[in-house]
Amino acid sequence: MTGRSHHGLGYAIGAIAGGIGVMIFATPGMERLSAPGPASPGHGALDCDDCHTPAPGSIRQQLQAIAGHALGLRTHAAELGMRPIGNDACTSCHERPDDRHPPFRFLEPRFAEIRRELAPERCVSCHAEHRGAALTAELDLCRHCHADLVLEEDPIEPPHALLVRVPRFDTCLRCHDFHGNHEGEAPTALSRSIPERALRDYLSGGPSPYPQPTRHPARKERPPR
Amino acid sequence: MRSKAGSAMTKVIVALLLAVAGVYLFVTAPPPLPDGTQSSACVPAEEVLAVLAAEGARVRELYTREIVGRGTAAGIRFDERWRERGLDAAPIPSLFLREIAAFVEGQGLGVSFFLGSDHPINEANRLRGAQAEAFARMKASLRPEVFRAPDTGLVTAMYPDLAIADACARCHNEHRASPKRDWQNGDLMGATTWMSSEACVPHARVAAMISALRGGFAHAYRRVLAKAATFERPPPVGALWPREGYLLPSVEEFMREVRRQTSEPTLDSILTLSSGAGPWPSAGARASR
Repeated sequence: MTGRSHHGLGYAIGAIAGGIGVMIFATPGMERLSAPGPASPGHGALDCDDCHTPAPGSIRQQLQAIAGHALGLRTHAAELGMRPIGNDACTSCHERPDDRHPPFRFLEPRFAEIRRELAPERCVSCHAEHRGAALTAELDLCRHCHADLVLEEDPIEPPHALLVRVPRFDTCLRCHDFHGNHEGEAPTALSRSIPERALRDYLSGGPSPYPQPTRHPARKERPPR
Repeated sequence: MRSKAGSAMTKVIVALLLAVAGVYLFVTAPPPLPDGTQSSACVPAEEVLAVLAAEGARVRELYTREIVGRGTAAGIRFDERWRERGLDAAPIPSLFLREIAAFVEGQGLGVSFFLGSDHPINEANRLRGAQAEAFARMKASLRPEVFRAPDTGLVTAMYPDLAIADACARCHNEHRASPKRDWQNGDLMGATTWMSSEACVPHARVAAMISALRGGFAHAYRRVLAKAATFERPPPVGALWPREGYLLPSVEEFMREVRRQTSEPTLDSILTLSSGAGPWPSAGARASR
């Protein structure tokens, strides 16, 4: 076989393999193969289109709108392919009326610096999907807003003032439920809080260390759009 | 010679690809997608926010005077820890508003509101940055401040919060964590910040926003009654108000009064928006009376 026929054979094999791959990924029901990583805990039974919804229009219309916007022929561009994942994809199943840290709270202008550091106005900033973990932000995220915490009455042991000064913001979530979705009072001693190992396991997809079930459990099925 | 031919061929291929792309995108293109909101069919966000803020301010005053003020005198307790089990207390006005805000935001209409102050009881509610600067201007003018948040692009309108009832100044002066204890009736205590994700709100959405806000009033008041029902001595709920005694109005009665106080001014505002003939009454104008 000559060099040219080797090249030709290689191109042919590559084209066939690529075509088979495209056919597999494009087959309905095989979308999971495109997922960049494992689902978050509790999301394993979801279908891709439970969160990933098509953007309005055909691909051609979308490209047309994007090109028109780039050329100044349109005021607004268009989303290409799929809509960006917004908070409504999360809150349609995870609705908490008493959320202590509702994401929309962080849209207020005075949280501009926090938005630059952490983007807490978006659920996925702390709960990124396809990583196989419930919490993907750092455990000491509370420092972004509460680094200057001062309490008139500080009855816990060790006191909050010490935990702030050291700092040990990685201990916050052992006593305080960020969204307030678990019943119970915060303990008055760190020694009676959730052990760090148990908390990290839980946030990585392990069993819940909370004694009580969640106040507002997630829906089992996505409500109709 | 061979390289010249190759270069010419490359140019031809590129030209053909650009021609195909041009045909694909522009020449035989399908009907275009809508290009956002048509400006002639929408209302500037700050005008809509003014309507919402005015209605919210009226209901806040109603709740503060007739529920909290009269209720306290009748023996009903109101506390910031109202959610705690075992504490027989209903929400204070700011937390009543927070319930409304959570409901409104949850309707997906791109509108939200928050309270803030430069003398907050809770440090988490301290105004900072652009809001603090706007509030400083508001202290001098008692007029609303409108600006665009630079990073989110949200249309932001701040309205003065005045101490409109005895309960406002009294509770803040008596609170152990209050940084200021000489509030008086009529003082500028803080500001309510309203935000809209759209710079120009479609007319149909204006009605939906007002509807959502009123839904928020009813939702928040239902939560008040739900908590009151758990009191060791629950106040009877019906047609009567706390000015008559240890009583609370039903949701229907509360909302009837809400509609009585808000419908006419809100309708006037909407009619002004629709006709395009401004200026219209704003929450700031109301606050400066």
